Amino acid sequence: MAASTEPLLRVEGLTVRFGGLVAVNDVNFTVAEGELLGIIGPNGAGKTTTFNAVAGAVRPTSGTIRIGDALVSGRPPERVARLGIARTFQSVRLFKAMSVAENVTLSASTVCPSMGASRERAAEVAELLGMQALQDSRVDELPLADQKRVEIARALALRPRLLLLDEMMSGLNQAETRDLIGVITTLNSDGLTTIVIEHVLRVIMELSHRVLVLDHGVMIAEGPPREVMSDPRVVEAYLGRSAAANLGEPA
Amino acid sequence: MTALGKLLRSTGGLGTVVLVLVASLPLWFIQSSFVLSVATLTLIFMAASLGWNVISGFGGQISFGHSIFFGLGAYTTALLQVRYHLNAYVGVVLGVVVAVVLAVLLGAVTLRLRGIYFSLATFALTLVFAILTGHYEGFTGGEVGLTLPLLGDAPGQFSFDNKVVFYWIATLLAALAFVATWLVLRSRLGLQLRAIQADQEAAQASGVLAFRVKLVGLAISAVPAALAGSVYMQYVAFIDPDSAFGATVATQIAVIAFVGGAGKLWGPVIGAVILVPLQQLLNSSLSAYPAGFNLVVYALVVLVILWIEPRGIMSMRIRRRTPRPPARDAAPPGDSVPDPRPVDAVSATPSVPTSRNGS
Repeated sequence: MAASTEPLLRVEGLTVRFGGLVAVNDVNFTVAEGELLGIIGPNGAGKTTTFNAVAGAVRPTSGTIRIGDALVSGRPPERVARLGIARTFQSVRLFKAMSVAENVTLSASTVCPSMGASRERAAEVAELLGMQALQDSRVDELPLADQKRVEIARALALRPRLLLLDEMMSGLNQAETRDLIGVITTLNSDGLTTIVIEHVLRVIMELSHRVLVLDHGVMIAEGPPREVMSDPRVVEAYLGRSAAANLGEPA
Repeated sequence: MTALGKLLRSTGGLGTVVLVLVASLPLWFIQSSFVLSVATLTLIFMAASLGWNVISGFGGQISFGHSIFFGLGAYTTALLQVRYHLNAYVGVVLGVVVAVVLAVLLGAVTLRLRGIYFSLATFALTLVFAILTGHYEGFTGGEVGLTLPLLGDAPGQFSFDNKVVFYWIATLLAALAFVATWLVLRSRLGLQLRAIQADQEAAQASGVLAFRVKLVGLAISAVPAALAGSVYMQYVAFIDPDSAFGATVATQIAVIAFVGGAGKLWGPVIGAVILVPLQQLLNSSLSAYPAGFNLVVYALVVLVILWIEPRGIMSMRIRRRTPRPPARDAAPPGDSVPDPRPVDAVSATPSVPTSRNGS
């Protein structure tokens, strides 16, 4: 689907080795402008490593990552953030002992010309996410669902071109998960290109335009969610044999 | 004016009390040279510790060697007068320049590394300076130290017969250092330093140029320490390697802030007001006991305070008044209300924060 237009993110031959371990092995994919891409795979499949490479937190052993024309791979995370790639963390990593407003203003301050402009940007984002009432609360006093929203707000304050969401739904109940899916869908339909890593398959099915499946660092499938989910290799790798049997697709 | 008004409002009653106390002190005790001397030293070390607070308190890069900058300020001021017969004020300015240059060099090497390396490097470097100044006797006066020439009352040479003048100079220095750290705290730099302290990786993911921010923070942080060294030099008129670069000065600057509250705007102020007089009193009252006994008592007091509240005295005050801190109490950023309980079961209290009205 992205073949005709120029992709926003282009990952070519991405390989990440940690000592003898090949965490990600020659992975290639692109993300089109406005697309919502899901990355799934069992534990240790290389999802988070791929993600960290795109965010600059992990330096690829080989391969290139580009956003638009700019080279991402090889740059430190703060430069990658300034290129327009914003991320959240799997386990929430807010600046504790700071208020919600301060957390978001901090990230705005790295792209806005002044503190005044940064505060305005933070207020804008708070309004966008409906968090005005929380502005003065300390982040470590907030319930987890609100903390995750603050993480999204902090990422949005950077005016990102690409948003990376790492396992946002972990620890949330069904209602909270539904709320957050709503937030992510809204942002994406406003044009924000997004990559989502998620354990909860239902979430990926609901959110993604396209899904990419990793197993042992290798990309084993790619395509629209429903197609990928019925791919026997994926079912076996990701859900295991019993689930494959349940789906009536003996492996 | 509005800035000063805001400062007074945001720091409240405590600020007023401290200001009144400090300003009226010489009027009460002008007869007692001991009290005046203790007050002057308190303000000098307060200034150095306020500087420390910028990189270590706000930025979380704990320096155990701020005596490097203190000592460079003192020795530059002294050496330019004694060896080159330059005006003392030239030495004060050059002392700051030398300290900032050294801060940038030190930071360039150590601030890319995380964790304990910066602390170790600062501590090692200050001891190296102590050894070097002790070794090159011909230039620095060696272990014997350097004494300033007696100039009598020569304001143009930073020399005053009346010690009260030094008290006012030290007051001005501490006040300037306080206002400077307050401005840093409100600025982008302060916010980014605090974010680095909280979680450097997350700060970088938010686009914070962590290395550069820490480097600028360290350079700024060296300025009050260097000025404190220069004023100390002019006031005491004598310096030796140990009282400039020694482990005692090195730790004292940090311990003052820790006891008062590292990262809190008022931390170094409170810490200095308690610890410097305590130290001076112990030095003079326990001199009959075996050497080092005063340090034992000093250390015990520090330990007890930090045992009661590891985050320092500033955190005690707020904790006692409001066991459950309301977030609407708009404290200045560095004065943030510490949470008495670790919040690991945050999801257990879902609707509390939403009931608050942002005002």
